[in-house]
Amino acid sequence: MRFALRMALREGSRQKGRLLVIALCLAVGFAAFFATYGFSAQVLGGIRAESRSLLGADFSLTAIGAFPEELRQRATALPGLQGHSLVYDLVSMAHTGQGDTLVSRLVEVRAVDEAYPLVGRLELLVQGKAGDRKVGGSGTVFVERGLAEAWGLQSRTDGDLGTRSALSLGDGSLPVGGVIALDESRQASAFTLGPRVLIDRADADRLGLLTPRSRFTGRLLLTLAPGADATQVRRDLAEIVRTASQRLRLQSHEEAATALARPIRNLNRFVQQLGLATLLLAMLGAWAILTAFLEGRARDAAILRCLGAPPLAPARIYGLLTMLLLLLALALGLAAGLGVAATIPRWLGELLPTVIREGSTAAPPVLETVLALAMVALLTLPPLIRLGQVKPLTLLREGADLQGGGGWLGRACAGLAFLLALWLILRNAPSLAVGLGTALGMAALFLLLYGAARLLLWIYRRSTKAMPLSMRLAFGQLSARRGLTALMMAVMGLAVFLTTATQFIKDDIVAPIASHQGAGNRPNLFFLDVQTAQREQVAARLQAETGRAPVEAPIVRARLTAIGGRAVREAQSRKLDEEPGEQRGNGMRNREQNLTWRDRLSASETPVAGRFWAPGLAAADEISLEQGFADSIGVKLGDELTFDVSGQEVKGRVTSLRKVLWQSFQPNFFMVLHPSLLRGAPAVHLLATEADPAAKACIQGAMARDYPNITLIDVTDVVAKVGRVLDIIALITRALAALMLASALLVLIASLIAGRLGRQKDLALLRTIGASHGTLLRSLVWEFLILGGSSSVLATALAWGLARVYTSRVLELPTHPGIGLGLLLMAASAGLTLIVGVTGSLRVLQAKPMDVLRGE
Amino acid sequence: MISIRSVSKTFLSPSGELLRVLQDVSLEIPKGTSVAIQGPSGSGKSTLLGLIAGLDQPTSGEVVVAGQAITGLSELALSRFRAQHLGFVFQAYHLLPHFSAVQNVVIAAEIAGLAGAEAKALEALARVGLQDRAEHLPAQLSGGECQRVALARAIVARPPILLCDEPTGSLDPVNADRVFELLLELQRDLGATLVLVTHDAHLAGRMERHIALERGRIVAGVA
Repeated sequence: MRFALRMALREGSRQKGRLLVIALCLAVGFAAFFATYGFSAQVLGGIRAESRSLLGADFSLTAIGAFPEELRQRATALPGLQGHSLVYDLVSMAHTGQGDTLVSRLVEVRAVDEAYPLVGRLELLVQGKAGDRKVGGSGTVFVERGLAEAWGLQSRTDGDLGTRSALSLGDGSLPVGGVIALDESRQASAFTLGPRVLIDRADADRLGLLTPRSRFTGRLLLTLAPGADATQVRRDLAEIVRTASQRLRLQSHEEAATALARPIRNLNRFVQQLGLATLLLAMLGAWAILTAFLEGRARDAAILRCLGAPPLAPARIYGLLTMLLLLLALALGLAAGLGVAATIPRWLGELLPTVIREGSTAAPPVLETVLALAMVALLTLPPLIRLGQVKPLTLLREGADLQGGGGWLGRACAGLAFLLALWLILRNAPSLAVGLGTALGMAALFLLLYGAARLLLWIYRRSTKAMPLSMRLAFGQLSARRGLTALMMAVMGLAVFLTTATQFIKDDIVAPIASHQGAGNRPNLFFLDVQTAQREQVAARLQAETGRAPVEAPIVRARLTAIGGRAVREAQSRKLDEEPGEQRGNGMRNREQNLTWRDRLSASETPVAGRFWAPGLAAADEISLEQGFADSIGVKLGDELTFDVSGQEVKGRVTSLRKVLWQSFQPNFFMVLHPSLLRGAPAVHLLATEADPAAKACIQGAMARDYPNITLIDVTDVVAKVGRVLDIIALITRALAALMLASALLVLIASLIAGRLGRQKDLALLRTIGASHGTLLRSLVWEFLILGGSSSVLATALAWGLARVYTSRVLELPTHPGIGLGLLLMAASAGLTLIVGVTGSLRVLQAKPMDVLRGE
Repeated sequence: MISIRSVSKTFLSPSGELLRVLQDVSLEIPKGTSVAIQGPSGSGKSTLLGLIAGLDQPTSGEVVVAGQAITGLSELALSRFRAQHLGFVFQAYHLLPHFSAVQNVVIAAEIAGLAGAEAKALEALARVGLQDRAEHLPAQLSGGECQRVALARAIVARPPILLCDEPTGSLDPVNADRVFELLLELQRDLGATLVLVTHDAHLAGRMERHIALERGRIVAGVA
């Protein structure tokens, strides 16, 4: 073994340049995986770690409206609890200034008591200085820094309330006590309607914000006593919820973390799956590189055997070398990947919904790494064993070569490697079905590409006579090691497939959203509760101010009373132990609904079932539902729905289901009724427009002054946030796609390096027998054009087809025929393969035949 | 020293035909002698050399080298046998291309289990007159120099038997003569048995004994 180690180190030292390139190629795959995995794990781990701060408690009990005092007393008296705080959350219009300087906007108000916050950091600045002030009992209002800066709000302590030192909320005003510099619980909100404002609960009551007419949520926050049994406390709280006369929602901080993580989990999964695909690709590439490298060592192995080295010595030497290479690649990949993962949170900044502490890093995915290494080791075992089986006698004949596919051992190793890959994919898949689909899909794709490559080489053997010499030589090179060529083509094809499929899918996700951006298509100001008498006036005013006609939608408030003739209240009362999804369905059925009428679909809607009524139809009892909403309330096509609209019964039949692109920020509704059904019903109107940032404040002030009944929602921040998330998705997918293609090209480079000697000998021999430099150059061009071109064409065509199926069937989004993008990516990957392959072989071509043959 | 007793070797051709490469060959080569094996292509010269080296097994018969019957030995035992008893010189040199001249010799010394492998390798290189080219890679050496490195590699462990397969076949006449002279000189110094496969009648004429093979049978020089 000592001899084997010495030889491995000698070989490593002698070929360090070549081996370093091979290690770097492998490291790229590891780096991509560690970067994406590290980032995902860091974000989700951060949310878990900070979940107490985010919820602001260990448990919360939530009620719609005032929290019942009797329930509060029962809950806070439970053993095992230490602290409690009752807060109320609501949205309200806030104003400051007077006359022409009046500005207003919707804010999220949290009314708190003196115990707030129980958990998590709340940093309040009074006149720019941090202190130990509490909101509860302060008699003032604290506003988020962004709002304070936008409105120029200042805290005053001398009792002189200047125009920018007070905030009007509800029926009165409160002095601005300071600025909220940090509110950890605030970071839980992925979607907000406005900046947060903290006030004392008693002040909120005094200002009329907590009257029975208002919409607000009561939240009792509870913390555990040290050493208390959390499971028991949860059981006790669940009992209170079960026996309460009013519907309550119980949430632990772990559950809150899960809910918080959900919006970014899909993005995480997507990124993580891409990272995993890159890792698998790199592992396949490693297989191709190491196989090429090991097959090139057959002659050396035969020489060693002739010198008297034991039968297993070559396998040991190159096995150790392979292991050293993999460990080097792993170390490089780990360092690069975790380094990138650590910098991403800083780069993404506020887009992350949790506090990722400086310097905190996720633990490396040990099992995944071990599985990936074991996979490569298994795949390289057959060529290693074949090295051990090299007959030294071959040196006396035509020269050593590795032949044969490794027989049953090769197949067993490939089978085991597939099982490891399957395990790896399943561990990282959101569900068993998705994992199995991904694994089998990748395996089928790989086999398809491998089979297609073998078929192409088979066709060559039947049609060489019709080809020019340079092309015959190219096919000759490719056919010299058919298995390795097919493997390379499959790896290249898989990389091109993943690259193009990712881009197609990303485009399908982003394009519909992006198409609504800019040029007045993406409203950022929403005006609610516009009365019918005001509608035309407000619309004209908005058109004058923005130069664009606002988007309008009528809203009729109603209650759903029956589905298919069965009263919805019955369904609610019979189930107390129902599933969370069913609870949501009951909530959706029983709450007050916003109905609208229209005679056509909007641009952000797509019918997915049934048929939307034809425009201009005079009368029809037809209803169209948003698909997800229909599912949650248990309604299907053909069901009859009955509504109570201000005491009048309205009936209609569901004739179509729609998919709505909510991210488009167009005014969209769960339920759209035919206009004839709601004719004469009392309606208010929603108007939406896109205002320039400069004009926005002016419009807000003027509208608040002239139409005090209208509620205004400014979603600029949310729109900007969605835009940034889209940019990040696009950037991450582009970066990973580039990384995948780069991995494949690096695999090509590495395999060229690994097989340089054999290629050099072949070219030297051809030149010796009179082949011109031009002929050989053309043969190289043909070789890499065939290698890159055929794998690119096949992979792009597959990607185009499968991405379409995935987008339409899984994502249920309209697909866009990205033929131009496909052709571009196909040409780019084929072109890059050609350039990299020919450039990488030029040195070989330029070597003097005599030197090469002498070196033999 | 080398005793080949009724050895036959047959192969099955891809078309299923039985090829008789060696047929009932018997041969005794005493210790310290030099023997040339001659014959046209396909007569079985290299196969015979491979059998003596334990690189191949006879279909029937027995091969005894240095008092040891190598027929039927395990691969591991054969490896040990080669490392301790044989030195090889090939027509195509077969040096490890990524290793320097001295490293090529060091590796052979290490495989033979010699202590002070590096010093012995340098000594062997000096013996073939290549001490100044020790750090050169094979690609940086001439054909004659490569074959001298191969000679140094063959003698570094001072084996009792030297097996050579057309050792001058790739060299020009001047270099071929120099290498052959060196080979004979080394054989004499070591007192080794030299078995040389060659087409060159001139070189064969300088050996103590000649064996002619034709269609797998010894047709001249049977001992």
